[in-house]
Amino acid sequence: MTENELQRHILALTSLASTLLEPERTFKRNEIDLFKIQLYGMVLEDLRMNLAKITPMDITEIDRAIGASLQATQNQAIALQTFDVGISVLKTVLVASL
Amino acid sequence: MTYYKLFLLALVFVISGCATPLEVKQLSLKQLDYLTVLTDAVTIQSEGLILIAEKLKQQSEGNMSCHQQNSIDRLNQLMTTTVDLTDMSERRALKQKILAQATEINKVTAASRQKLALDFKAIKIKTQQLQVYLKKIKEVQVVLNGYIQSQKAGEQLLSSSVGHTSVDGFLGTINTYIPLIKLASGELAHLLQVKQ
Repeated sequence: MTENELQRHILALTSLASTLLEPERTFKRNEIDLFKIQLYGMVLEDLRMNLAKITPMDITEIDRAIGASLQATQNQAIALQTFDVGISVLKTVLVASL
Repeated sequence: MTYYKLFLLALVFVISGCATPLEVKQLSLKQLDYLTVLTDAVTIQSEGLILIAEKLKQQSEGNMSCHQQNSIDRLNQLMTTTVDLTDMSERRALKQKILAQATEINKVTAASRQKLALDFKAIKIKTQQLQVYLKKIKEVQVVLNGYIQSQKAGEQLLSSSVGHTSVDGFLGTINTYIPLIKLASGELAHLLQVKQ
């Protein structure tokens, strides 16, 4: 039963119970308590459902992306080192030849 | 020939000059600070959430026990009145109904306590997941910083990440928010300490 349904049952039974004689009055009052107990059990449900909407990315996927980036950075560093050497030589040669 | 060499020299200097702009490097380092502030704020907020959820759980458990006891007390009281019934079958039927309802009360209370405990556990797990996720985001930024701080990252990163060529104004705007977030986090932390 939903929270609203439980609240409605409680309201209906409360007005009914006051018109009854024993033993029915006791049984109805206890039914009210049963619904109230169920309501208390649902007190964190909304919060849980809201938080369930948070869906962070898979951590292993992020780790994989980090690993790939680090590897790519290393590869580029090696390539750029070679490029730097080439540029320096070219600069020296061109300046000398001016 | 000289013009050609001059052109080549100019080209070499242009290529050599394609280093990461200083503002981008500053921004990438600042991003790590922003993420740290964000992580701290979310941690405080999550702790607050767990604290409130825990208090709600305790209060609800107390209320459940109260209602359960009241119901059982009423049934005990009703049981004592069965001796007044002269009709044996009527007495038996009433006793059975009393026992059935007592069983149901205990069963429903146990199930409701379990639901409350499971919901609380799920809330804790989700907040922990969020913490782990934020830590990972910081790790991603550290890796990006490593690249951005290097010499030849290029100006393309500047325009693609912030949409314009200068980040001075952008950096200034972000910096105005940092003290506000820190103040709000501090106030929340103080409030939680008082409540405890």
